[in-house]
Amino acid sequence: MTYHFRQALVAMRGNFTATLATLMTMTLTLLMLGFVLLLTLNVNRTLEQLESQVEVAAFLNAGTDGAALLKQVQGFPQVREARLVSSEQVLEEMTRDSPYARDAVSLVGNPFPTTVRMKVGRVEDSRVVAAAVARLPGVGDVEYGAGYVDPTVRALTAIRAAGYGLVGLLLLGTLFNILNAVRVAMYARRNEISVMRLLGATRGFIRMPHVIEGVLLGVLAGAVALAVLTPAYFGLARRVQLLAPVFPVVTDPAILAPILGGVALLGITIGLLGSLFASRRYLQELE
Amino acid sequence: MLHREHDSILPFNAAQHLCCRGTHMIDFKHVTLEYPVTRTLALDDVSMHVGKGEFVYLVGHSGAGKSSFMNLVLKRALPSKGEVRVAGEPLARYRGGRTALLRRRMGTVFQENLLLPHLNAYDNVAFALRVTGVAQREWPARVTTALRTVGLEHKKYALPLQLSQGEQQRVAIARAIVSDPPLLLADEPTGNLDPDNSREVLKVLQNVNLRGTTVVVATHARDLVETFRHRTLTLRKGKLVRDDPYGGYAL
Repeated sequence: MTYHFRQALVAMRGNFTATLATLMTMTLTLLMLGFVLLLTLNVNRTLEQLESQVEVAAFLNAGTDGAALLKQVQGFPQVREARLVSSEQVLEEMTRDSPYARDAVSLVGNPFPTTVRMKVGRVEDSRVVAAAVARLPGVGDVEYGAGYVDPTVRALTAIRAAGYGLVGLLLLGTLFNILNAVRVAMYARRNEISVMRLLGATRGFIRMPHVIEGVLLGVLAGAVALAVLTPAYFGLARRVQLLAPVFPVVTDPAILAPILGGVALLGITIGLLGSLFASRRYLQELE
Repeated sequence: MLHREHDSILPFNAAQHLCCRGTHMIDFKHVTLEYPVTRTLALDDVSMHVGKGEFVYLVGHSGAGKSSFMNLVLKRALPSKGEVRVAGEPLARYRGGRTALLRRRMGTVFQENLLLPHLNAYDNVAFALRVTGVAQREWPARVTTALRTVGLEHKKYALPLQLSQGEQQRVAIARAIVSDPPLLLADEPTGNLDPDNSREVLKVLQNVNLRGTTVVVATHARDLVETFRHRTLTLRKGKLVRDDPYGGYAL
């Protein structure tokens, strides 16, 4: 094993440019992946918060059977929770928020209609539920905070998708870099490899230094990515908490550790799989 | 056409007696080798055998099929027709990873010595033990014995560039025999050497043979074949045209 390890180091030093290019691409990919994963975690957390807050409110026309309508909307699969709020209860709530509402009632009567308030399973379903409820007989108007929910969901989903797309491209680039690095290393060793074949070396023995090279690159890239990502994330989280406390930034190490560990592990896995594939393919080429 | 010279003047089948002690080390049964890309017929219906412990020359002009013969035994090429056996086992049985095991039973020496330039003589020889997984504690004794056999024990720390062509070839022979293979294949081992060095290398190969190793030498070197006489197989245009148990160069 010491021999294989030494050979891997010799190969890495011998093809320094290819090794450095691979290491940089791998590190960049892992950094990007880590960033996207952490962003997704926080986006999901924000969406969850939105989901817990966003309500769809259906204002009923006078004389509508509220209980029957409530039953109907409770039958929608997207609706997690629904309750009927009478016009008196709405007035009470409004009076709590704006004490002058009570004075208005004495002049024009209770202007608030009986309302069915619904919470949806996923924030993206708000629009669908609102549209379906609006079509029900007896419903005068529907509100669901479309003004901020829709653009927020769209923006966050787009950011997440773009991030994953970029990571996919970078992973592909990393894989090609590993293939190239192993190919250069094997080509440099072609005389040695042909001697080894004649002396009866197994394919595994010949490929081992290159597999170790791939794993080493993965470990190095993973370590560098973690060393950059961890302090950068916590620094950013502190700033966001300070400047925009409305965003629920995740800083719990128990939640972050598996994600950061997963990024490093992915680096090692890419290195291992890439070098296994490349060494197998290029050994066949040399034979 | 195959000629078995001297058969007629011997009181019994001496050729058979001389060439085949015990079972065969190499056995060719109607072997044809045609390279698929170039459609070159390298060997044409060759049947022969080399007995265990024999020293055999394989002679012929360039392109006669000597290297193709070696490639078949090493399983670097597969016969288009016929069967090749080594130590009684058909080579078709050695597939995938088992080819490596087959090659561990053979030593190989080529015109180009294929020594690794960054390793000294000792490490070049030990390399054969390393790649076949021999325990490191066994290396010193085995490498020293192999280098002694080729007369280069005193130059074990020399790099290939510090050795003469002949010495480099002797290190290559030491590397080929350090695993103690029952068969040694030498393809033009003196091709790059002057006459003195060529004779030295031939003497070393004979010494290896005296230890019981079967040795097959493919060569053009008429003077060596005439000087150090052994059974000689002559190939011409892929056909085995002569099998002379007493040697001699006649193309």
